[in-house]
Amino acid sequence: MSSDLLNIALSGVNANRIRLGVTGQNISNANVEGYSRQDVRLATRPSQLQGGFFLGNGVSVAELQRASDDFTVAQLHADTARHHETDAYRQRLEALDAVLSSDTMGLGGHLDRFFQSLQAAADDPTSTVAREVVLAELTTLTERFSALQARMDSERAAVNTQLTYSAAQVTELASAVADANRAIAERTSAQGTPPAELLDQRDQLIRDLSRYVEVQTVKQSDGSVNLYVQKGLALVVGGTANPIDAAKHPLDRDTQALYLTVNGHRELLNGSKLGGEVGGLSRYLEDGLQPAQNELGRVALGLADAMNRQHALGMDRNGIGGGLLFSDPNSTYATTHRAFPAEGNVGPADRNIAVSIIDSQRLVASDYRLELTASSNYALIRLQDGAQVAAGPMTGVPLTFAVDGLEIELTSGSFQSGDQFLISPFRTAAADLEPAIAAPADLALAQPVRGEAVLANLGSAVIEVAAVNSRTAFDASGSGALPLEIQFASPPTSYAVTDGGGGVVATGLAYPPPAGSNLLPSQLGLQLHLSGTPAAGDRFVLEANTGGIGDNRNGLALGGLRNAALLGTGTLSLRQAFDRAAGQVGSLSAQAQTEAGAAESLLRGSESSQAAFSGVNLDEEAAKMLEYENAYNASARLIQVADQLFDVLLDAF
Amino acid sequence: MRISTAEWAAQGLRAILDRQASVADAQHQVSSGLRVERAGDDPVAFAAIQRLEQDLSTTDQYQQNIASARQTLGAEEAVLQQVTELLQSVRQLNIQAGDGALDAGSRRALATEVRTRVDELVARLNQQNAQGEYLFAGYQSHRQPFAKDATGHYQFEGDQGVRELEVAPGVRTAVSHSGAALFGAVLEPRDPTVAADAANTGTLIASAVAVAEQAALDASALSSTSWRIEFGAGPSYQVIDQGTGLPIAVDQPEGHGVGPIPYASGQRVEFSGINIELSGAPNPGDRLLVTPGSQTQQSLPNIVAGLADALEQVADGAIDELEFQERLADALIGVDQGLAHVDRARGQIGGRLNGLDSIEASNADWQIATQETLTALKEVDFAEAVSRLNLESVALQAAQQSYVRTMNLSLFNFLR
Repeated sequence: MSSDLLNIALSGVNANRIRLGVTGQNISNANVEGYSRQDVRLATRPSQLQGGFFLGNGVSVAELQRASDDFTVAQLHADTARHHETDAYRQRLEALDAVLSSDTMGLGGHLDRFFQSLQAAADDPTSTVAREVVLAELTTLTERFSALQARMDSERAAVNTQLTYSAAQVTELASAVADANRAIAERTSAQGTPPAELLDQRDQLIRDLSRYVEVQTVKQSDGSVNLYVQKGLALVVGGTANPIDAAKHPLDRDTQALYLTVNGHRELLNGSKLGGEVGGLSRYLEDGLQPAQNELGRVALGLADAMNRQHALGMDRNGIGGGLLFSDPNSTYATTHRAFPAEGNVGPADRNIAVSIIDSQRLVASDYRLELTASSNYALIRLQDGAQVAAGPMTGVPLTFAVDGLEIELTSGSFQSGDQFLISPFRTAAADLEPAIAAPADLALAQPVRGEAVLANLGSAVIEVAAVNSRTAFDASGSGALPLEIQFASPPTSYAVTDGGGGVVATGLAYPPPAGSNLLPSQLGLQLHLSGTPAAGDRFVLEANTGGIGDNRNGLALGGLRNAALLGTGTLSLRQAFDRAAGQVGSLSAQAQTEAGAAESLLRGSESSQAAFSGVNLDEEAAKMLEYENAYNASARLIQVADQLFDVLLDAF
Repeated sequence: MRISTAEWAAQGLRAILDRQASVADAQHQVSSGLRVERAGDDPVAFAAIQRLEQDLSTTDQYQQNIASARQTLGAEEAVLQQVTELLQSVRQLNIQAGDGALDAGSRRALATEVRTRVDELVARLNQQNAQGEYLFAGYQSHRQPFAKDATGHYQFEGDQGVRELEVAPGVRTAVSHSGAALFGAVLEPRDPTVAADAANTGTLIASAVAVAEQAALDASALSSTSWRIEFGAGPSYQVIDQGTGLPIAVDQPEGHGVGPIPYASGQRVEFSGINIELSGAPNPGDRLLVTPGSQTQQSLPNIVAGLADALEQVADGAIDELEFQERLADALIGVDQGLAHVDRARGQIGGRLNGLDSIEASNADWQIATQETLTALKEVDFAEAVSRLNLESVALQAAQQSYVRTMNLSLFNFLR
């Protein structure tokens, strides 16, 4: 009978010792990341029928509980992925924003300074110093373009490195999860329940994984967990993990893409849909860096094209027609380095595509994908908005078509159905921009033609060459060659134009000319402005501006390009285009800050609800420790009582 | 509700870190004075800031251009002032030379003085600026605009180019005058001729022809190439425009109108700025042909040199007194025209300078307004920023103190 008591007491001592042990485990693991609080559930031992009564038989440990809630954990993983996605996106955008907005790195100030130097040279066209300053500012400006390009290239390289590293991390973590799955399945089948720390460890691994990519978890009956990425692609199935690797994107060789290999089949993942850091970085490339880099390239091309065109219409200090100011955007090198074949194109790699800039005003800052479809058609997709902007039958090389200010020529090679090409006219344009002018005297600040009223004229009219639109006519020696002469008839309501060869270009032209039309036939390329009143017989001569080094008219025209709407089909000046790109990155960055803040507070929320459920509260453990200690002491006292009862019984004999 | 102790500590720490970030942010704004440094700080304000900064720098350039334009115009004005004085002294000499009492020696002396004026005038017209550019040469600013040709005449050898500077968006101001219009082409007076028709039967002659009014002659020469005076019975006459075949109005004491006007020998007839003295007896049907004479141009130095030539020639006896007086009168007309040209140019310079002043003032107003807007957009409100810094600092202190206090709360402290 007293042995029953002893048993009951012993069961209490044992149960409470185990509870004290678990409390100790909780206390000592209080600060271990991913540790789930454990709790002991006690159960009354089955009673025994004795003397017609069911008498109690003590207590036993029924279960060791691990405080973990699948829903809370899944929420934590999802929020972790979201937080890292938005945070990586925000961090990169903020860095890019700082570069584009900075006074020293940004373009705006340098563009202004370049145009100011041109204005100053136009104020004083014979000054070599002013011309030197223009050349120096021009060099600085091109260096600024290159430096910005270099920053963007190194941003891209950093992101690519990060993607490669992330792919390795994901592969490693996935295989660790698979290992944990195997161990858990083994223990589950052997002992029914797996050790708590294995489960904690696996949850922590999945959380670490969520940092890089977002995963969906599906729990299996054997205790293992399957992981899926991008809504349904298996990353971990039971004890096997599928590797992810990073390699060049098949179309865009400058970008790192992630591939998932399932059963030997290599699948291209859509980076921006992956979530986690990988998703954030991929979105940054797509929404932030790529558009900004294309815009930078577009500004560079717009600058070079417009300035070169205007400069070529001028006359330099040596009386020679203006040459290139910036490197030619349509040099053979440049035109042949704007299209890149996709990796999957069938060999031999002999296709040549030339892309020239024909109208810089209409350029759209986007990459393009050229596809040759199965039905022998070609199609050009603008990647910025996914629109098909050109299409037609593939009739054979050479094939030329124009779109968005570009002329694309499939020059030569064995073009085949299924070929894909990336047309990327802007990506390196800023780096390719170089000064092409060597000496200060080469700066064409003068116009090649001057207008003179013949001194014997009786009328008060004065002639001015308002603009030179083209040099082809008057540079030639045939019809339209200089000097051109305008002679008014009597009465002076009509006039005739003769050219340098004595040929009559036009006769009987009405004066004043109808509103909106020019004094000279447009093929002569000159826009004139006649003010005052001409008299009958008055003559005006347009002659080569020989010796006209004090002329600043082309300098004024060049300086005027500062505020001219050179881009966006006549809506944006160069600086506006760049500022708009910087502003867009800024908006994205501001938006990303909000997003990242929201994601972070969501993560904090799910962290604290997970911690509230699974974490250790030391005060609670202290209280439990006291409680269990008391219970232990009471049970131990019961042993003493049983012992005394036994002694009393023995003494009776 | 239970709270995980580790999470509690982490939350406390996070609160401190967040506060620190806010303090650092406020401190940065106070020390930099800038509210918007990156586009992401305020994308809308950033776009406006970029635009305003570009406009400001453009306007700065315009203000510099205005200063440069003013300097250039000022230099030209100074030279034109000297030219005016020179021409006025030449005018003085011309009047002096007309004194019939002067002997040959005095005229030679006057001629020498006029020659000095010619040299001074040419020096002014070939004036160079600090960059070595000839002010009046047009676009060919390194070519001397007035040089003596083989015949000893001064010719304008520049062009009619005029330099312009941009002083406001789309506004260009000319900052030079070409010497061509100013000094290269002074019109010489017309010299009308009268010829008797070969078929005349009377004894009519034109005993004197003079220009009564140069301007009227120039004006009528634009529309008519010649006239004829046609005599009829009485005798009487009409002046007929050869171009239209119609009679024109005639000015004279006996009458005004198209006529026919009664004729008397020794009578003067005046039309289209020409004054003709008629004498002798015409028969009906007799005619006189009148042409306005051609108009030639001379450069201003040549006109003045012509005065010296006339003085020397009359002193040498190469021309008679009458022709000398006529050439003096012609020279005077030329010099007056030169003066008028220069005056007009000076008037234009004054107008341009006034225009520059008003553009500069409006540019400056605009700069001030823009600068204010820019400051409001870009820079921090210091009162607000400093008080925020204080507030954030207090919040940080509170977070730190409460962390220390709450982290010390543990049941274990009471277990003895």
